[in-house]
Amino acid sequence: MNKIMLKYILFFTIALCSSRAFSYPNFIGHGYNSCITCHYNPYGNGPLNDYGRALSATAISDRWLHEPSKSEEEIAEKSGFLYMKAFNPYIRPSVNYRGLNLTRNITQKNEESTYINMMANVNTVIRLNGEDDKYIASISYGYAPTPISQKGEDTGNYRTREHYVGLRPNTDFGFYIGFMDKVFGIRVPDHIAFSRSVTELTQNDQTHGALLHVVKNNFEIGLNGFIGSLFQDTELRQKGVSTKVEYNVSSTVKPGVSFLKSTSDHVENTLAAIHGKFGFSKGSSALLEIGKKSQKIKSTQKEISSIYLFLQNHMLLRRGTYFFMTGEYFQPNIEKESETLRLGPGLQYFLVQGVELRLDLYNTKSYSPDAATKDSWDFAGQIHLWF
Amino acid sequence: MVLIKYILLFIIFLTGTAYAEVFSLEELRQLDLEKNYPKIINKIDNDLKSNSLDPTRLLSETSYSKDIQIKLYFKLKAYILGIQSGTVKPNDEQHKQSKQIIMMSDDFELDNYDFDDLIETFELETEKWEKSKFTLNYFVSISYLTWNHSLKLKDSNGEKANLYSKEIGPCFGGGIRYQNGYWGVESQLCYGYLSATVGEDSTVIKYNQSNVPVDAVVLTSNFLWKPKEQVAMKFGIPLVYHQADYEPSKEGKITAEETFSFGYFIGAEWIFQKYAVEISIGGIKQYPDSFWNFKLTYNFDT
Repeated sequence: MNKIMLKYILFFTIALCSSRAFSYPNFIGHGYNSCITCHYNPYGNGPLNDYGRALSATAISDRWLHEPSKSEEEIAEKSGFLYMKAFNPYIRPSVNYRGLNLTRNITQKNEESTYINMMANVNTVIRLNGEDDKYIASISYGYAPTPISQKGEDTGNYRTREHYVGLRPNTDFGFYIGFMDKVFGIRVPDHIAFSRSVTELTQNDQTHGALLHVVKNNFEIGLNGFIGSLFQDTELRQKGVSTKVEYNVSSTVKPGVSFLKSTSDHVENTLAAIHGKFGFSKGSSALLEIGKKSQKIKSTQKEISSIYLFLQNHMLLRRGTYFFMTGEYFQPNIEKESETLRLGPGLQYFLVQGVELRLDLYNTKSYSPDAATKDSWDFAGQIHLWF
Repeated sequence: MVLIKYILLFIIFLTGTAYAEVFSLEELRQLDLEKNYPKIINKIDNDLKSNSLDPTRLLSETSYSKDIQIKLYFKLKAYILGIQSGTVKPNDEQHKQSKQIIMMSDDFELDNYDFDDLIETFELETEKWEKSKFTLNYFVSISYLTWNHSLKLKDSNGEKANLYSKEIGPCFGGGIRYQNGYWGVESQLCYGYLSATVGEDSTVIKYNQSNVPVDAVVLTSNFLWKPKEQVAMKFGIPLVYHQADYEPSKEGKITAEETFSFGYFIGAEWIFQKYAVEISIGGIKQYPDSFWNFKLTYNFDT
């Protein structure tokens, strides 16, 4: 199948129906402190399982489009692919799309606005025993935009975003092998967050590897060995290991630590972070991650260490609607005094299951003893569809 | 005889109110059907008193007759439904008595009277009532705030340039808050000791100065909206006094735009027991760019 044909099929599918669906770490505010409750992947991202779909249709999304007489059970029952009941015990298909309107340098002379198709995926999860999610195979294939740094180059915009086989004989242990996100820190959907970008754990940083996931005695432990993305040139592949250990103090308090060590032919990365997820009242939450990255350039043996902090607080205003504040700190080189701070309010609205609208305002301040620079203001409006 | 008659009339007059309010269960049921909740409560209280029972000391009795148990059920029901319908105003005394009736209800032998729904409604109404009560709190806080200040530089050649002072640092203070579970108002004062980096916004003059000490006093008046118990959104007006010792370039002069200014902000607060974390963003008149405030608060008991 050629690319153009695939492209049309993909967009036709989206136009007709339309994600890689998401539930977010801030849902600890609702008492859901583990990604595996709602996702096939124990660390989130990727397709939602049946429970996750039902949850997003009921507890998370607004219900004003539904008839008042319609019960939550009825809404949950029709939360499958295209708002249908699950029609086959073996296959769980889904499609998703995320579009971003980004306006940089608001009110400045160099203000520019662009619309980016962030992703458009077709996903399928095969439940190998046709009964439950113990043995699964998951694949997500779709469109990814060309990174700004590679503008004009042919980076191959259509590719697999994730594919893996998962074996989970019981709730305590799971083993996953394939092409997945690395396990580290809080997997927030804010791709521009320093905790995602500095650590190189953004939406296009999946890697081939294996993951062991253990949930026991209130501990949740992930051990991830990886060999880099086999779609990359050999010399660029980051091979290594990462781990994340979290402890359920309660259903709404979950601190954790993460560690990652990886190396390619050119650079060696060492990451360490502590984080905490906290639920407040019903639906509100606070996420905090503080981390350090050390990167050594092999050719020069020069090492630079940076520090970041991510703080995001969500406030449930009414069912389906969240107000949030995101505060970030980044010091690119701990031996220098330059720092960047970013703060901004945002609004997230789940109109109905499968439709999310999000508005973010980012105010960035840079501090340096050598210069006093003006702030920058950026605005991001996102639409996220998953069916 | 006449004397006895008058004595009897006098006794009836003295006790008349109580006796007049004594009523049958049928009458009580009728009042219940009519949803006349204040009258039910009043009648039952008088009835209990006429039976030498103090409604404020219900727990002092170990057991009650079935007739009294039914009346206590109706008293509880009338109070709860009265609050729900808005015909009865919740008050400490009746609330305490309702709690006592609920505590005793396990020992009541009333098959046809369901306490479970009443108790559930009582808890909901209690929560609402508690949330509607206003309290006055005092707090201390430590903030980390930042803004950009605007300055003007005139050098020895008479060249003028706008300077940009990026200021950041801690602010120590305290305040007072009057709030219930839904909304509130607060006022806070803090003293800030900030550090500024100053640079030019000009191609004509070159100027840079770092670690300039800045003194600031910030008085804020805020309105709070609490969509949930442990979270609050804030809308506030800060009044800012600002003073800094900028060093002008040789034989030049630096002037600050304003010593006093005011602004606005929007903030979000998360409350964990006696502690609260607040993040705010806003603007101050004459100050370029934005004003940020990260605040940790410790609340004292009222």
